[in-house]
Amino acid sequence: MTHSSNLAPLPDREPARPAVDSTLVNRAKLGDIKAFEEIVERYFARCMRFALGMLRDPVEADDVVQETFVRLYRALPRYEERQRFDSWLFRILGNCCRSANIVKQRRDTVDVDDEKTLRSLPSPDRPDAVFDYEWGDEVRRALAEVPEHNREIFLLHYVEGFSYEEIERITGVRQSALKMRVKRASDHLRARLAGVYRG
Amino acid sequence: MADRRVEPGPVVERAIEALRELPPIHGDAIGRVVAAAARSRAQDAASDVDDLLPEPAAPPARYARRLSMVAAAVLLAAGTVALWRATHASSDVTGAATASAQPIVVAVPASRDLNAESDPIPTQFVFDGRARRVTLVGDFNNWDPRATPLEQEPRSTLWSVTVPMQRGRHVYAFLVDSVWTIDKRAPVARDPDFGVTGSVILVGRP
Repeated sequence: MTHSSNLAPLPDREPARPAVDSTLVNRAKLGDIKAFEEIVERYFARCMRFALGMLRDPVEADDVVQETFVRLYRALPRYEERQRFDSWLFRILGNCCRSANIVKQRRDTVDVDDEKTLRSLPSPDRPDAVFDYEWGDEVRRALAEVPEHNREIFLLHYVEGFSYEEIERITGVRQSALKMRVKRASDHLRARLAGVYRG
Repeated sequence: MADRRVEPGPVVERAIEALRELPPIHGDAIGRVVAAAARSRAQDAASDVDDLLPEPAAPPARYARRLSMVAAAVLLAAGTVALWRATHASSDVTGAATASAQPIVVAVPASRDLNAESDPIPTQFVFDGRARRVTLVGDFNNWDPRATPLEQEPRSTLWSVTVPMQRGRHVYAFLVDSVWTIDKRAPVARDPDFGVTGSVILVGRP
């Protein structure tokens, strides 16, 4: 199968933002806070993007990203170089996001924002409602409707640029199941956004 | 990378492009994260334990006064826990605790005053396992992950907290280094509303 996607190069393959080198990681392992700061600078925005996709709430996403980097820094002495650094980082981040979602689900039986969202969605009664929102908002709302276990894999693969082989190492889920989850998430987004998209 | 991708199609590709947009980084976000990490490692060094062990967490102020009132009850509970552990010495529980691979978690009412039905009952929650931070979440603290941290006994893997609880059935879990952890020794409730599992404790039942 040839891949004729028009998608831009994935973030971790952009020449301007190369993956961290082992020297930088080793300095951070030894406690060099400047080296760690450089790692944070390099990955902070990507982590926030992923956390926002998983949690939607910017405050919670910010908390989770901070918790992730704290855990990463404390665990750095045990980091082994044979493991890809960003895979390891996103494994910690994924764990933090899932835990935060569990706590959030427990706390918020009804999410007020979601109620507002539901009232605002386009419907046969309000066909123009979609024009109230930008495409990006609509996409994020549609993504939030995707079950968490499918959403996480979709984000890791299509947004963060990890291969299925890498995601298998991150999550421990077999590649066949990962592909099914990505397909389900894609199917949902396609169905949900088809009426909004103007190619 | 030789993935055989399923074509997402134009709608999903446009969605992916929107999702790839990096969020802006506000103000001192990175400095705050770095400072938090540095503080955390400094605490590790000061605790004089190996890297895997946590720093003792300070009890929240809101429980400080109550904790002093139930100190005697805690001592009683500690005895209960010791007895509980002794009676399970030959079971797999002890092995799990020693190996640290499968932490044990117990929750026992710290005391019971049969003359005051409406008074909260001090209840001790105990977690045994290696961790950096353990907090208690449950219906009694609005599932707030910051409200009820456990304290670690010096140079041990035992963590505990005593919480004044109303009588009745409560569902709870532990966040062990931010990971949801249920009590494998307690009854388990699968909440149909939330789809996740918690442990159940009955407070005030004989």
